[in-house]
Amino acid sequence: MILHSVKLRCSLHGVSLPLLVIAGLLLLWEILVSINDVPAGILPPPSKIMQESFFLREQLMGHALTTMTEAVVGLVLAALLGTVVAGALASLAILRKALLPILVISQNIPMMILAPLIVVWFGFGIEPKIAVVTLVCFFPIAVSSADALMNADKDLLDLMKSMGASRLQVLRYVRIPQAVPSFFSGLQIAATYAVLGAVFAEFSGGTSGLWIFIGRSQRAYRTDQVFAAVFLIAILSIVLFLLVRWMAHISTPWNRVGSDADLREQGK
Amino acid sequence: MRLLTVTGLAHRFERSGVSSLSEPIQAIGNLDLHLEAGEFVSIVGPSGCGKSTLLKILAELIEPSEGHISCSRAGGSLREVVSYMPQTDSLLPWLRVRQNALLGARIAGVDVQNAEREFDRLTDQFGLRGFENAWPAQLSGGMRQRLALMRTFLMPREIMLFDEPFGSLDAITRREMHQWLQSVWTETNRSGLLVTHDVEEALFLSDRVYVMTGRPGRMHDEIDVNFVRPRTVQLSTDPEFVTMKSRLLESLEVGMTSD
Repeated sequence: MILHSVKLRCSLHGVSLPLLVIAGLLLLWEILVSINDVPAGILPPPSKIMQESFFLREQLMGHALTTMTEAVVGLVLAALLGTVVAGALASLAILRKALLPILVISQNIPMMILAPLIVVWFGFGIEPKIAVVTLVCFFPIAVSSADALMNADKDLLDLMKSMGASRLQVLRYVRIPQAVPSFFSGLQIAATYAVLGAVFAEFSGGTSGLWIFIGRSQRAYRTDQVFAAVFLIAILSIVLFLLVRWMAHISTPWNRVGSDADLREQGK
Repeated sequence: MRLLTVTGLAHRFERSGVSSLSEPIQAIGNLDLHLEAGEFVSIVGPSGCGKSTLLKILAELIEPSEGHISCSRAGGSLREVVSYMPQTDSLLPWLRVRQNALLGARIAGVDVQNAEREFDRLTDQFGLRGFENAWPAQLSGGMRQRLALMRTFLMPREIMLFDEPFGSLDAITRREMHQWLQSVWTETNRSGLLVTHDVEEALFLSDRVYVMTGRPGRMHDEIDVNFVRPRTVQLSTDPEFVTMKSRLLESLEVGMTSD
């Protein structure tokens, strides 16, 4: 019985609690809008937004699919590029000195300026959007992975050296596995940028995508449709973030065990 | 037969940074040491006397400033003769118990199958039966230490270097581990060099004990310990043991203040 209530509390903290807070906020929004009689063109109530979302579900799904494809493909490419850059930065001091300033600069170019340029280079299709997402996302992955690759545990390195391990063996047994959690922290940060990056990139033009949808809705003064798209963007971001967290979780099984007291007692 | 001879060993650490402190630290000064085949030798010394540095030099992790190390076993590198157990247990958190134990053998690249057979044979003795597929994070402090010792044992090396292997354990677990290590040791014909600040530990486990001075560390006293093996807990109240213990403690005291 006690165990049951503990479990219940855990699940309340994990999933139900944030959902409860969101539901409460939406309810508050609904009530405030109806009490103050706000016109739907300025701020539609959540019920209206959801109704509209349902009504336009096929159209919305089509746009969401485009945006999500841009975000996910961009993120995957960023993970690959980030890993390669991290490996290069970590292994060669000269590259580190030469490249780091350029990488920092690359993160400070406003997307608003870059996006139209990328369209000029890559056209109006999905490719320029993927390029923008990749550019935005690879940096946190590269930096956190490079740091972890370079700052391996000194004692473990000594141990490997005393065993006569080659550089490749040190990489395989110590540096890479030790960097996995950092790689995933970088990827988590990147995942939160990915959907927004894709939406931003759509700003430069195209025929499909959530920003395209928002633009059309705005011109038609359909604030409810704008909000429907905004809600969808938030949901997609959360889904992508949780997906990365789950991947991190299954890729580092040794971090999951924590302190398993029962097992320890047995082995005493 | 003499396995290892160290003569006139000295080591200075170059300090970098603040200019007023930039003169090098003399960690070890003019140290002599020898190890016979099959012998278990302990080195006790105060903190900071350079005993860990000494082991790191023998494991070829640090290049000594001066001195000569000779090993009667043929071959160019000490690393082919020595297996080193660092101060922390240094288990790889991402490898399961079995893979951790086999790490040294795998990296040395010699006869991994033999090491696997040895692992299966030794799991009971090392108290790891049933935990072969556990992660290191699931083990207790004593088990982690036994696993680290097992990894050191499974390296095909004649000399084992232990850097305060039980320093992080509580007193009761530590005493259990002493018992256990000496029972394991009676079955091997290898040589061991253990560094500790625990005089009782040194006496209980060793055939011979060196006492080091404070920094710069060198050998100050040496004592033969001839109690029959296997040794039991009762040994620690044996009058002869107590006499030796007080002599070692006195040597430690004198060595610390003489410089």
